[in-house]
Amino acid sequence: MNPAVLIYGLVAFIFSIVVHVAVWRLRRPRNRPLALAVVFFAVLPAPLGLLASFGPFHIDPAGWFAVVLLHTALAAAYILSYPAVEAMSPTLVVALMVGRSAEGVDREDIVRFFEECAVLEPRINDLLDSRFIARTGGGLTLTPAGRAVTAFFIAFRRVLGLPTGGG
Amino acid sequence: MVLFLLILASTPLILLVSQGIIGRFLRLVGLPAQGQPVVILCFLAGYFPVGLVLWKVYLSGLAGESVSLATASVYAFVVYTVLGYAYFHVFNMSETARRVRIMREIYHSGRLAESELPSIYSIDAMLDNRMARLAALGQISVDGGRVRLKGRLLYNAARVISALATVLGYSPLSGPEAPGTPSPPSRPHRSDDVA
Repeated sequence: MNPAVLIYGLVAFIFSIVVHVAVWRLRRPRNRPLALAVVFFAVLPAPLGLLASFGPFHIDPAGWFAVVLLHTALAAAYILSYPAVEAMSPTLVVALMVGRSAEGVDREDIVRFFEECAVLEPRINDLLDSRFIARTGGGLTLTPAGRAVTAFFIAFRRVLGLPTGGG
Repeated sequence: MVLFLLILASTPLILLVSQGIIGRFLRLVGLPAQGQPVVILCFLAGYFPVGLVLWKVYLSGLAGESVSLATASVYAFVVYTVLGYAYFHVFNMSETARRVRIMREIYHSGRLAESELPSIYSIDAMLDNRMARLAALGQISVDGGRVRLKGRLLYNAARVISALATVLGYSPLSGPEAPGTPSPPSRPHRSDDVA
């Protein structure tokens, strides 16, 4: 395997990260899942085209497939980690709370902490912004995209023989 | 090389199948089969068989070319690890994500009034679920209502995520600086969010 595969895959990923940070700091998109998909996948031909045209290494078609796979793997890992960045993940907040205190934290203090902050409202707003749910007739309903995502997770848990999940 | 890449691209599928089989087997013999530890077990155990198959289909053919062999080995390790990490996140979302939980409640009921959500999603149950998972992963210990840090992996992950949040213009993850002094995390929607 040509070592340039590793270099080009990393360069393409770093290019996407730079675009992502620039866009987010400039003007954060409302539909962030869609925007992430665009930044990491729809824009991908740009760095690959530049590397193919001006890059110092020659790569064969299978090598380009390897570059795209490496970029896709890194992008998937980043995109799936991203919700914890923009939303307050209760699991990570518990880890931070407990980690900051050498003596530990009372469970009741953690409960009180979560009672004082909105746990669900920001998530509902995210789902509305992402167009996975909609407000209709005084209630929340799934959009076709939200129904597809939910059906995927239900099927995923069934394949694993697990109950449909906690949350 | 194409077969080598296709096998690597199938990593999430390989983990799905192995988790389905190993999880069912553990439950069948009455052993604890909590989701996240089983995923981690499948992921770590997968290095050897996947590596063996990759050796057979591609890497063994590079035995005389040390640079190519080293590159392909590093490549395989990185792609398997990163896709395994991504699979772990998908599984976590199915298990813990509030958004998935809200969508699932709406999916089953057809329509949900926002006023019903607090009764469906209790803070106590949410916290109990997460603390049980953190304890099962060896990250915290709970002793007489006192929660202490046991492993530093998720704590360090939380610090990295918090730093990344700052880079992206969000306020960092926050929690009480000292026990008994809760302060809500400040993660408001920015007013310049655009459609």
